[in-house]
Amino acid sequence: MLICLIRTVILYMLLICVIRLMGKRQLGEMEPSEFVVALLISDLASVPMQDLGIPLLYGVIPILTVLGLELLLSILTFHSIFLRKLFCGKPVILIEKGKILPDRLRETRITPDELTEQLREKGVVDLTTVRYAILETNGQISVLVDPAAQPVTAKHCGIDTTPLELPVTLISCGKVMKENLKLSGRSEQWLQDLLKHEQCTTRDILLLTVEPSGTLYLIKSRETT
Amino acid sequence: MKQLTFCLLLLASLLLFCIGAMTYVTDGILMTEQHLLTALEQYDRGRYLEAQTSVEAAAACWNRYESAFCMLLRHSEIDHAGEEFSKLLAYVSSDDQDDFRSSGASLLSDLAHIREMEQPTLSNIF
Repeated sequence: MLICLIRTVILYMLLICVIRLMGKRQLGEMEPSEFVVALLISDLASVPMQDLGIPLLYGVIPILTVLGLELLLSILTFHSIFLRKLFCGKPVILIEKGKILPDRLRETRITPDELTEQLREKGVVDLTTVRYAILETNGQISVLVDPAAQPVTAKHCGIDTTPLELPVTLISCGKVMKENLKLSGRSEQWLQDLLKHEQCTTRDILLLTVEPSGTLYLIKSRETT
Repeated sequence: MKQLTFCLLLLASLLLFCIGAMTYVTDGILMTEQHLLTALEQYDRGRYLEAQTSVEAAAACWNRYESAFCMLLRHSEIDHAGEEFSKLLAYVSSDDQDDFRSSGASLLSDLAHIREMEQPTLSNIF
């Protein structure tokens, strides 16, 4: 059992090193340590699950060890910049002021094709409009477009807009969300009056939301004739 | 701080549990081995009845620990040792000397193997 724990610690550290050395492009949307945990947990659980000859503890101990190590690592990286750089790496600038930095591409092993593909995915076609393209520690590329090439916004035009506020769901799948009703400053009586006006019961409603402005959005489960 | 304490406690309790499990397995197997060694010695001296009692004591000791071993060790190892115990008990009562000795030696080596497998040595870890 102790061997199991020691092996888990060694493999966990080894996998983090390997993932870090493989570079950010392998990661997807996770930090290296998160990626390692995702990689390990499923396998650790499946082995004792399938093989009845292996005690359950052979799965439980490594999973709890990985959990403990992941928590410890995330706490340490939160408090120490050095450890954060060591385990998570640091963002790498790939494009600066419209110019691709070939050394950085070589260093991160990202081909120009992959870079342009990522830019296209973000709606950028003209490379010269990119102020910065940054390869983040989770493998994603953030693109900061030159302000001159950004779409015109209401702010640019000096148009006053009302601040965006979230609509509140009052009825979902025929169930009244009483907390939300209170949150929106409406009473149950108000809801009953509304239902009376719509000639339906709560059960007939699939979704009812109300915006802070008072606009209602109502969808019935079935259209009544 | 709470989270750090939690994860350090978790890791420490896992470590303690594993050390405890290793000690438990080692103690249980050493005790069984001791009874078996005594049985083999007695058998070599021709004290068959005493040898039989010692084998039975070893089997009883093994049975006492077996259910806990099932949670801590691979079942194939426990099943194999269990089979060897059954054979040994049969041989000791049938006065089959060669089979008793070879079965006893085989069981001792199996038990030693299980015990050594639990030790945190470099060869076991890697």
